[in-house]
Amino acid sequence: MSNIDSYRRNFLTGIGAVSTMAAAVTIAPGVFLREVQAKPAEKAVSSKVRWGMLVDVNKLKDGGDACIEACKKEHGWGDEEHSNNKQDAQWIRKVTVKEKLTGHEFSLPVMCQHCDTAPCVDVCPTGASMKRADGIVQVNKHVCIGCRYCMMACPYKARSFIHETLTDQKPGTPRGKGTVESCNMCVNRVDAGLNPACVDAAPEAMLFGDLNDPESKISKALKEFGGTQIRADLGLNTGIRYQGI
Amino acid sequence: MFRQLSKKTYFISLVLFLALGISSCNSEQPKLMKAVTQFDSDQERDAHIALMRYDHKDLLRHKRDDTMLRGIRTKDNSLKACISCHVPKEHNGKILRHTDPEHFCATCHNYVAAQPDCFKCHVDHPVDDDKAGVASTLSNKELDALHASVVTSSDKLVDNKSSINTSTQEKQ
Repeated sequence: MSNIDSYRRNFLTGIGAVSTMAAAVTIAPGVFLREVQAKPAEKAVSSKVRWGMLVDVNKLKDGGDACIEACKKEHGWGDEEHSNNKQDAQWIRKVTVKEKLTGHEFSLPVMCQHCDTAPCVDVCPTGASMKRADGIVQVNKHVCIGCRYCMMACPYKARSFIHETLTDQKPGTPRGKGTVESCNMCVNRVDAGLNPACVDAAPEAMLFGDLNDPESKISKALKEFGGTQIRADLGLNTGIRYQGI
Repeated sequence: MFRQLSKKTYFISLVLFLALGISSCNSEQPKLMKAVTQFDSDQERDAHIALMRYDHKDLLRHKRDDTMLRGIRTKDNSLKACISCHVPKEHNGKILRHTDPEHFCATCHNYVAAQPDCFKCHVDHPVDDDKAGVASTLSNKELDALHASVVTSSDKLVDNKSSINTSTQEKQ
């Protein structure tokens, strides 16, 4: 087959694919209506869903302390015996901000922002720092070599490194010395149809749902009231949005 | 004559030495701990043993990738399920760890001197689910109601603003 022929064939196949997709939209529009629910265990995650979180900072009673405690309890971090302050695991941190002009002060929980174009995924030399099809950014510790490039790359300082041998980890959250870790949006709970632990710890201030579904609570809230990204100037399209910052 | 004799004794002593050496080797396979739950039939059990004896490492690797990358979490893909069946919650009143020779995985891995890395991150004994994660005190319905109230009407924005005002006033 000449180059021109193969070009024509590819072009025509492309047209065919586009027209079938269009047909699918017109014939069965209901197919694209989605609800946030647990996926069957044997089914792979799909890019039709993009998980996200909305944090209303004004409604957080304690600036996120309850979220941090719930995260520690869920994933079993925070009681590392031999690590110093600079080495401690920090899946989620309470950041207090003060506006100098007015003196207005508030706190917000900052964790992995689950970027759409995540810098940590870009720089990882082994592919351990990964984004799942449903938008959850996490570390595949099976292939993590502990080089910590992702920690350098993350503009949110969301990642930490495990410096010591651990035992008795939580079954849903394997953690081990020599690997990097961060918030994984409670991927084990999300796959089971539950909210992330922090969202359930501050239900009055946090919302979890599918950003791709215009009918989900989170999408409706974002559409009506908007949500701010931290460091929106970086254009990372984060999955975690805030109100009141 | 002397040379021949010495050759004979050398040969006999070599044979004796080898025989002793072989007899001192223990060729018995290590005895594995019985699984907590048993298969319904012996056929199923034997098929499971035959498969796992040779392929468990490949299956573990393949299925860990399915779970990590694609979020597939069936019981077949679960290391937790392997552990909960093969490792008892307690053994002689103590938690059985992978460093103990009786641990299901350790028994063979010690025998062949191959170190599995799984338990550097994964927990090596069964843990009750309620202790493992966050057990919320609220029911799902109550949680749903609270989540629904995060942003439901535009009044909320006014509330927020007034709360900011009060908080700044308090500080002043």
